[in-house]
Amino acid sequence: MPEKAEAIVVGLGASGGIIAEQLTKAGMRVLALDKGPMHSNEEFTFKHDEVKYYSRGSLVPQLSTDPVTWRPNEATEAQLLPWAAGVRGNSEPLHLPPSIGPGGGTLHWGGASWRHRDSDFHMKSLIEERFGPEALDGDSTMVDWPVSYGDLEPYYDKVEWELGVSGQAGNVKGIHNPAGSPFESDRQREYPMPPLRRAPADDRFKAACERLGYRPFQQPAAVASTDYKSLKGCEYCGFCHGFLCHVNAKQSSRITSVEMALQTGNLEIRSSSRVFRLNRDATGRSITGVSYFDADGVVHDVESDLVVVACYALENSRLLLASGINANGQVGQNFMTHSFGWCTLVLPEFSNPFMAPLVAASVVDDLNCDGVPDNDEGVLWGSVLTSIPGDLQPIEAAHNLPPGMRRWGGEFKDWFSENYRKLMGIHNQIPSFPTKRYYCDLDPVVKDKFGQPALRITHDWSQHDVAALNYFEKIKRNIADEMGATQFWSEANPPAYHLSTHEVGTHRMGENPADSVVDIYGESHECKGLYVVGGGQFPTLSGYNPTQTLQALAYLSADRILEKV
Amino acid sequence: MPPSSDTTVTQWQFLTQAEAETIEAVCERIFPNDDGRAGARDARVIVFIDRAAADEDEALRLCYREGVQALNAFSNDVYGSPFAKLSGDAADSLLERIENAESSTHPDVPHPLATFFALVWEHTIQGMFCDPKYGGNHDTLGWQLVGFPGAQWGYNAEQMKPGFDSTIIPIKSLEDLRNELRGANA
Repeated sequence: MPEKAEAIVVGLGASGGIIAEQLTKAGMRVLALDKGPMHSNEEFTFKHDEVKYYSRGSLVPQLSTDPVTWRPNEATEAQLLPWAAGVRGNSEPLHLPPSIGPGGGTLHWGGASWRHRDSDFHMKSLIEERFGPEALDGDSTMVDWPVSYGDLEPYYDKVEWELGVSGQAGNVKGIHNPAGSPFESDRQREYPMPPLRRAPADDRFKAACERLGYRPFQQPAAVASTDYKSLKGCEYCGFCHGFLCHVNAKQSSRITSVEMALQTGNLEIRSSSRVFRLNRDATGRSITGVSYFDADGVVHDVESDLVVVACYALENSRLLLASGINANGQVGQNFMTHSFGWCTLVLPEFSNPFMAPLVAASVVDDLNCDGVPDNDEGVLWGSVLTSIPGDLQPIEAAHNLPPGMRRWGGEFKDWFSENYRKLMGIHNQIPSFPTKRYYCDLDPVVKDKFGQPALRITHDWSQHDVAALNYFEKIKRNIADEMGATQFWSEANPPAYHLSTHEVGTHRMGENPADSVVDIYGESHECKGLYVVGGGQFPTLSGYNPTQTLQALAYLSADRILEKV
Repeated sequence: MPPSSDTTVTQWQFLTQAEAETIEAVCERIFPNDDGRAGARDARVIVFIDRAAADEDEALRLCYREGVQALNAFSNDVYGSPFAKLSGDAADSLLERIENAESSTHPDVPHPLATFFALVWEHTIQGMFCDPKYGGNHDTLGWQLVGFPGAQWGYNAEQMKPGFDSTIIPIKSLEDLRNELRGANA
C-alpha cells in the first residue's frame, strides 16, 4: 500500500522552507523531498574552499546529473548550456540553476534582500503610460501584477522579522529617514538589525556617487549584523556568495525556517530524493501525490492531496511539463532573467576584495524602475546599481581580466599580483521582459540518467537588454572615473550566459486561468491541491533581486493553505 | 630546471612522469618564475593537476593524455624538439599560436590543442590559488604572491579600513582552521 502524507513539500529552499515551517507549526505533518544532499555541519564550518564551491560548483546541480539545454531561438538546435559545459569544468556555478539540498538557493545566495517598489507591481501600465503602447515589442506578454505592494507589505515585514534582515529603513509609514532608501515604498517598521559593516572600498564608491548627485544608501542584507534569532552576527570572512556560512550569519532556510519546522517534530526531510512526477486523479483536476527516485534510483510513490512544488522557476516548470500538467499551454512561458552588466575597477589603494559579504555595500537606486530618466537609448525600465567591493577570491578574480591583456605569462603574473588586492565590482540587474519568444519546454532529445527529459531554454538578449546594459555601463564608467579608478572594464554585451539564478515567470500567477498557471496564492488553476511557488509566479521581473518577494509570496501561500486568507 | 615532481611526488595518481614534465612546462609559461617570485612550478601546480585529473571524469583525462601528445607533435614539427625542452620564448610563441588557433580553423569547434591549453590554464589558476590540501599552492606561495590571507574566520573593523595592508595578516589554510578548532576543543 502506498505511503500517505498529510502534505508534501518538494524542495526546501526559500519558499519551500517557509511553507514547511508554517504548515508544521499549525500542526500538519509534512514530508519534504529535496533532490540535493543534506550538507553537513562540517561542510558549513570549513567552507573556505574556492576550488570546491567556485571551480567545481559543488552546491549547484551539475549538467552531468541535471542537464539543461539552451538555444537562442527556435531555428537553432539546443545544446547543454555552453557557458557552463565542457571539458574545463564549469567555473560558472552561478550561471547554472541555484544550489540544491535543504536550504536550496539560500545556501549559495549572496543575501541581497529587497522589497519591490510599489511601481514594480505596475510595470506594464507605467511603461505604456510614459512611452506609449508601442514601446513594448509586438511579442510582449507583459502584464501588471494581480497583487499590489500593499497586499504584500505585511508579508515583506514577516520575512524581515521572522527570518532576519539587516538594513536601514528609509520610509516608515511615510516618515522618511535620509540614512535609508529615499525610494522605498511605505513600510510598517524598521529592520530588526542595523546594517552590516561595509566592505573597504565602499566608502570610496559612496562618496563618489554623492559627488555625482546620486543618493546612495546601504542595501538591505539577509546577513545578520548582530545575533538575531537563529542567526549569528557576520564575521566578514568574505567567502559568502556561492559558499555556505560558517557562523550561520547568512539567512538560509536551512537554519531559519527549516530548523524551526524540525523543532515542531512535524517535519520529515528526505534529501537526495528526486521527485520526477506529480500524480493526479483520473479527471486530472486533483493532485494525489508524487513519485520520486531515492539516492539509489529506487522509485517511491507517496500519496497526498496537498503538494507544494518549490524547486525554482526552472525545475518547477520542468516537473509540471514532465507530469503533463499544462492544459492551457502556459507552463514554461514568460521566461525572464537578469543580465548583470558586470564592471570591474582597479582602485588606487588596497580594496582587499576578499573581505566581507557581497552585500556589505551601498547602492545607487536613483535610476531603478520608473525612475530611469528619459534617455536616447530607449531604456524603458531601470535597475538597481550595486557596489560590489567584497567577497572576491583569487580564482574567481583570475577569470575576469581586462580585455586585451594576455591571460598568461609574466605580464599577467605582474598585473594580477599587483592588482588583485585593488579590485572592485559594480553591477546592475537589468530585468528582461516577458515575450512569446522566450520560454522553457522539455528537450525532445536530452534526458537525465533516470530517463527524465531535460529542460530546454529558448532565450536571447533583446534589443532592450543590450540598450539598457549600454546605458548603465556609461553610468558605471562615470562613477568609476569619479572614484579615481585606474582601470575599468565590462563584461561582454550581450552576455554569454542566459541564466543568472534570478529566473522567474515560468508558471505565472494570475486571476484568469486561461493565461496564467497559478492563482495569487500559488495554487494551480488546473489541479486542485497543487501549489507551485517561487519566482516562477512573477508576472514581471524587477530590477531588484527576487528572493524577498518570493519569500513574501510563500507566507501568503501558507496562509491560504491554512485558510487564514 | 628540474620539475618539482622529482622532489615532491613519489607516485603520480594519473600522469606519467613524461606527461607531468610536459604539462608542468606549460603551467610554468602561464605563471612563470622569471622574476624570482613564485611560479607554477614552485607552487606545485602539477600535483594539483595530477589529482584533479584522477578525481574528475574520463573526458578530462583524455584531454590531458591526447593534449600532451598533440603538443609535443606540434612542437616537434615547428622546433624539432618536444615542448618541455623549448626555451621560454619559443614555448611562448607556440602557446600563442595555439591560443589563436581557437577561432581560425572553425569558429564553433575549438582546435583540440586550444582546448588543451584552456584546460591547463584553468587548472593552473586553480592550482596556484587552491587551498593547499589539493596539492597546489604549496606553502601558500600563490596566496602570498597576490596578498590573499586565505581561509580566515573573519576580519575586524581595523582590518576592513580602506587601504589596509593585508599582508600583515598571517595566512591560514583549512588545515590551520581545523587545528585551531581542535585546540579550542582540547
